[in-house]
Amino acid sequence: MRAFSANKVPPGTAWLTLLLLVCGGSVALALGLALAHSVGALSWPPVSTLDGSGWRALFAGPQFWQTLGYSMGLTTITVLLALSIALALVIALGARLRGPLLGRVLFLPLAVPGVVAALMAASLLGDSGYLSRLAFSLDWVTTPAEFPTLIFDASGRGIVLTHVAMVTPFFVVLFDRLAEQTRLPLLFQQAQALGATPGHCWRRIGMPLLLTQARAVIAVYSLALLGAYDVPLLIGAAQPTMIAVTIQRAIGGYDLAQRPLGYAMASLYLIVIVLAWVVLAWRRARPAP
Amino acid sequence: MTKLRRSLLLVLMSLAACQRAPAPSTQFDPRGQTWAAIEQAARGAEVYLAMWAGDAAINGYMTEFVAPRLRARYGIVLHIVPTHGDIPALLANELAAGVANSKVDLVWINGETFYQLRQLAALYGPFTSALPNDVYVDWRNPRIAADFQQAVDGFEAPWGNVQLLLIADSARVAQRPQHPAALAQWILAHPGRFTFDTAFTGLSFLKSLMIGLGDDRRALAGPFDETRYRQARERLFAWLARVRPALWRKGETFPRDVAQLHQLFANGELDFTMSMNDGEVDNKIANGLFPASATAYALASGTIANSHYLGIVARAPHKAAAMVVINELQSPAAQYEKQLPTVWGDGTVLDVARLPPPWPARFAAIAARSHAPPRQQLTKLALDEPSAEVMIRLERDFRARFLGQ
Repeated sequence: MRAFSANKVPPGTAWLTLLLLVCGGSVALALGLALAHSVGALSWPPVSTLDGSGWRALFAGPQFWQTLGYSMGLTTITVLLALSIALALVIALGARLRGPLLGRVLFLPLAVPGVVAALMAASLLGDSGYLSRLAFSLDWVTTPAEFPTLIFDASGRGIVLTHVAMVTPFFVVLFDRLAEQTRLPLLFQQAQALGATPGHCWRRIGMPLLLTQARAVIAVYSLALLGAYDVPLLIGAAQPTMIAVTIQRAIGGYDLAQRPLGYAMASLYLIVIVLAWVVLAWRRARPAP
Repeated sequence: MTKLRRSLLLVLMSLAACQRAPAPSTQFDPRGQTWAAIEQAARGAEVYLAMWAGDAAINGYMTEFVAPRLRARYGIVLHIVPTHGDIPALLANELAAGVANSKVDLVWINGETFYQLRQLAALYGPFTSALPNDVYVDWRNPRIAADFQQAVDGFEAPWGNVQLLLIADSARVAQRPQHPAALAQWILAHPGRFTFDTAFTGLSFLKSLMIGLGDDRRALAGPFDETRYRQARERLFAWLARVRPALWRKGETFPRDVAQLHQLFANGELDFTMSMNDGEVDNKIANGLFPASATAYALASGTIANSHYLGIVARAPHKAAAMVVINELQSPAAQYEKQLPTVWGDGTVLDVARLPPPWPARFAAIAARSHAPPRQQLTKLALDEPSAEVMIRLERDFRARFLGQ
């Protein structure tokens, strides 16, 4: 303690520096490396002058914006569906979610890796998957192939369904804990004493409160889904592809000429994410009117 | 803005300064050593082999036959590093980072990867003439001595040779289409029952069509020629545009690789699959993956035939052990086991007639394939691999034209 006061270094500075390095430094390093690779500064064989072909290719075509738009579309649908289902479950089950069975079962899907979830989705939702065979055996379709296309499809339904199955339990747990922390049942009791119906309570108090409290977590989770790789790779269509798959295909393919484009896409994507984070952080820090 | 530009440039220059020439490897260099010394240096090493690991039969051969044999004979521990066409990127990253010792010692490659790795100077060599079993390799075969029209020059060792075959379920395909035009008619008459993958096998199918749709089997022979490539590409793309609406999923998406294509065929979603291994159909039937009614054949217009190879990474930490592994994989025993239809069904690169007894007799006694034509018959329909640039360009152009990428 004396040492701190002698050097006039506030306590915890070292930990704070470490935190900043881990959070900000890693992103800055990743961005710096991606930028350097995108202009050939770290390429092999070494180039004598910086090469802007990757960036020119990026801005010459719509590929990056299409893949980003596709990823954002699927992410938005996934998050909206997951939030709706999670809220419905919290409303319907309430305190029972903390029961001995449900309280444990809810955590189970959170432990399933993306690769496993994608493989399960493929065997369940594929044209010859269990669901299609079930539909066939129940005479709902005349051949298994008539079953609606749910995986490897351009609309990304399989990706959305798999991600919804993966993230909904997380939102259920989150909303349930927030409801408990904010004493939602007590607020409902008071509102109902003043004549509000249970429906009014959820629409006017419960949902706005939970969604406001959870918005930072929802935003971070959305960004994570936006950059998802395993599930889109394994059950996504060949085209369009989500952003992480597109970038990996360009960087990791055997055609080395595509690498600068891949790194340019990675750089721009990182810049978009950082900007989104800055906007979110700024809005969060802004004092309430 | 100028300040921003300067700062950005400074950051990039600093990062570029971080790049350094690869440190000289301190590992044992087997060149010029006797084979006994190489074997001695290899003893007890752990060798990392980067290879496509998407086929259970190939993986089984490596883990159940090759790895135990290497351990028993030389004390070498073989580790498989699964890759998916990303070997050039992996090694380029290592070279750019100045890594002295690569994470992998050996790579299983084809011509398009060999071309990229030679450009990067990422392969060790020449080394093949130092291998004792090299004397049995059929170097007189042009499809072994050249890989995608490039001379091997001792920088990769032949491991097996194959030919692309279409595989049809004869229970559902009464008359197998023999020519590209007949195949197009079949596809149009059976919507959703045919497709191809967008990886190596599918691209080999497209290359076969590029040549087969013309009237000159050597249309793409020799070094890459932009004019001839464009002519062949446009013929192919016209064929594809015609059949596309009748392909699986209306040609809006394609299987990622041949493993996925096989799965769709095995599930009954497709009536055709294809393989870059002419012995695979028997193997897959024996393993219960394909129905017994599956039969393989080559289009009468020809299909691509090529060899696959093993290369040693220039900065491999265990070059001596890598050479011993390759020599073992080229041994008559390992090549014989690999060619058994129930094991892998891969063609040998050895000149069987020159092998010491009892190997010629053993190779001759390998059970004939019951679901694919004999090799002698297929050879007449074999097309030479075009140069590596054709495959690289075709993939890029196909993705741009048909997948909007």
